[in-house]
Amino acid sequence: MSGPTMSSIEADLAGYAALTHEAMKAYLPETEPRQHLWDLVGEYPGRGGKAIRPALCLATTVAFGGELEEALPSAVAIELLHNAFLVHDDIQDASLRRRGLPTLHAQYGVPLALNAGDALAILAGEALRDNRRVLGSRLAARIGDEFDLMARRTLEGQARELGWRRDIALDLEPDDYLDLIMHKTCWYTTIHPLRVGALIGTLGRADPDLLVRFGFYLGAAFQIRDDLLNLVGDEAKYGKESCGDLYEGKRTLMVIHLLRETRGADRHTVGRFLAMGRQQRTPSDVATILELMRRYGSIDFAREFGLGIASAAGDAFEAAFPDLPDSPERRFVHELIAWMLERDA
Amino acid sequence: MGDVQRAGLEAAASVVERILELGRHGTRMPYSFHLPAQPVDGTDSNGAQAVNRADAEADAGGAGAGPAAGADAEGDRARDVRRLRADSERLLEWWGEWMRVLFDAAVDGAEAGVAERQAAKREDQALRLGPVKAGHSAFGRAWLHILDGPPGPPARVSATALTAHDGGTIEAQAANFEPPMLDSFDLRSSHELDVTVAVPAGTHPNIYHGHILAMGLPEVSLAVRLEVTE
Repeated sequence: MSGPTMSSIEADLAGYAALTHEAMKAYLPETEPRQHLWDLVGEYPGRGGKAIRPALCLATTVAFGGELEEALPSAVAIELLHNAFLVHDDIQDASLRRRGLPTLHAQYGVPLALNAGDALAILAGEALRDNRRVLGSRLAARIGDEFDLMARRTLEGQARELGWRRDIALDLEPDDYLDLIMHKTCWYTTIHPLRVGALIGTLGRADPDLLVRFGFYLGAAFQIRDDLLNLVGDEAKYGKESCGDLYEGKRTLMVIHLLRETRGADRHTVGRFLAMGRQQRTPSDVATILELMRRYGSIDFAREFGLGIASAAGDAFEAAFPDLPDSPERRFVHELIAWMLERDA
Repeated sequence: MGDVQRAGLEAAASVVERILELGRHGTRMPYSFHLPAQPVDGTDSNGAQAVNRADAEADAGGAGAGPAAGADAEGDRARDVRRLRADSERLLEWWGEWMRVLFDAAVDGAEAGVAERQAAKREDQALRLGPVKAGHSAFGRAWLHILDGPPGPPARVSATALTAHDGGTIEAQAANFEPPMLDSFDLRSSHELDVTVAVPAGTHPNIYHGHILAMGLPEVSLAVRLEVTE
């Protein structure tokens, strides 16, 4: 993709992000206790972020014939819940950096961060309930069901990943990884915003299942790219701890490939590394695993595997957005496919 | 497409099929209430296709203005109708909410009125004594009604301590009754009673409340209100 197109997508994303964050202000209390709750709640949203979820929701709504204002409560709700997930996820993973700064629990301690994460989830519910005013109770109830389904899928995915780490799961296949990210990442990052946008845009007449395939291909491309950036990306641009996924023992596609390909001493090294706790993993251990990944072609494998999925995203897009009139919003969603593969942050 | 790319695509397609199948067989929470889905035009279309189906219908029947113009107009009308429906729903909800506010206000008012009348009635039934200065006696005449309770021996009349809102107290012994005993053999009878309260010197000006009771007649009670002034 050419430079100007990348920058135009990023400009569109920034526009949707600004719109969402402006609307989000109405839901962030400016009351006491600021120091121990509300300041923390505003911390992650205030750090920016790509706002892919609200952008997808808003653009899809307009592409399907709706208006931006109709989707704003849903866009804010998903962004608030996303931030709640991030806070809890950072605690569970003992992550150190988020969006270029220390994670919330690293800055304020686990108890306060946990409480702030809970508050973000509650505020998401408040935003969601405002759909009744904007969409009427029937469609608002439908969107509420979608929200519940999304939250449930995400929790199931998170539980599965945490379980793999606790049980030191080593016999995993790429299929397991895809199944994991379908639940843990893709449903709430791409599928849910697309489904909700289509429902709002058509005032409840769309069949949201038709958005699942495209949403998954787009989300999988996003996640695999994210996993690769974590290993080989520029930490300053990426905003998270370099090789943080390795320190946390995440079963990424590269790790699963490495587990499958290694034998003998190398396999033993990988198994021993994954059996360690996060605090035991040293930079030298991580460098060894990264070197093994390069030697066994795990990084190239993940890149190619992701490309295969992304190559089908174009056709899936046409099936998901069939015969809709051309619009900047429709083009924006389509162009996200290439952006997901090429982004460096 | 290389082997790895093909493997990625096939694996992803398989995951999509599984999740859609899961959705068809009960991922939706059984306890969740779902409004009936609105009919979707076409066997495998989403909302956008529904609009296009309307376009197609307009194409089939459109004459004069041309198929494209007819389809656009029909699509706009379909959307207008859906928007009208959503707007009407919201209007009905607001109307319902206002009706509820009015209903709540009316019921709250009625309840407050009843409570006020009951309080006033209780106040009317009390024996009001005073105003009187500390160191003087307050006098009043009351009727005690024996309406219920088992027959028993003559009952001695007594009073509880009289208490003010700030905790100030006039002891029970300050009250005297004439006659000091009630003839409790006669149920459903009324007895006239002279009540005298000797307000001790130094008692703070205030409103004091207490009750007159009769030993052995648990249902007999008369509220007393005594006003002490400066």
